[in-house]
Amino acid sequence: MGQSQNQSLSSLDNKSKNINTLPQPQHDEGSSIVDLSSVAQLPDEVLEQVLFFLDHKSLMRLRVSCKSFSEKIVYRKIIDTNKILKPTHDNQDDLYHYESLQISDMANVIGFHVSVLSHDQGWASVSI
Amino acid sequence: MSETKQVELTSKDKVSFKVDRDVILMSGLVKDMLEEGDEDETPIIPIPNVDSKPLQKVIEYCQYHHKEPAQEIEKPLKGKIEDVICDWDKKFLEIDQSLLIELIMAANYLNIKDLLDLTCAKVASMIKGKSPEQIREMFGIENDFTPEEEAKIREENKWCEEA
Repeated sequence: MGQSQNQSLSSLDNKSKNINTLPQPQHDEGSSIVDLSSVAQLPDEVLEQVLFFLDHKSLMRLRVSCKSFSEKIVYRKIIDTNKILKPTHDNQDDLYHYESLQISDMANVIGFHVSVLSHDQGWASVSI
Repeated sequence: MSETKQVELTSKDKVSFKVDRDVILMSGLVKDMLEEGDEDETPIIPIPNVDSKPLQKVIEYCQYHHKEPAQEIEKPLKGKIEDVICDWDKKFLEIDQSLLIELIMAANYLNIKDLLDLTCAKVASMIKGKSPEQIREMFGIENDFTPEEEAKIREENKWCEEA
């Protein structure tokens, strides 16, 4: 009876274990593998969960890494950069408005980003 | 003195784990299976999509967090993941990257939302702040764009890099 309880939990040689009394998380000492290539092959519904934790800049950079990600992280301009929208009030400086939308191919909106380019070419932006 | 009810989980590689029923009810999949099944003394539940190594980690996670509920992780991550998770989770995530991917798949299959969030946030935090070149190197991704395609996509990113 007591034999199985005394066995090392890190060993997977045994066909049956009782691990109800684990006090601390187990460490994998050999944690030097640098192969995450399977991330690119994660199913869409799982990959989507990863993408939700990324900010816009990281998402856009991920798009540049390979075709698979660029197809999954869809980028759409909804107003072209050369389109000048009139300011809503007379006392505002003239501004160029540039908006973009990022949608995953699972049809969920990941983020909405609005950038404003001022007359002296400086960018200001906000992400939602 | 009443004994705690247990469940026996059998992994893809045929390793069995006995675990308290209350603990493994964190898994939506197991919960559904237990509700559908008979009230056996120790029901045996096959987990054919998960190997023993990730399954052991899943059980560790459930054993800790069924008593200490996990805090929700912000989306998107504003800083490092280490700033928003507890010490136990930090230690839990000290695993090799292939096991991390297996854990993500296991959490998704077993329907354990908090574990899926934790592991996905970990991968996201590894991507965050990296250049496309660094992401390719870390994931072992080959650049499969033509120079023209890459130039076009980088042009689309310009506003974001300059913002």
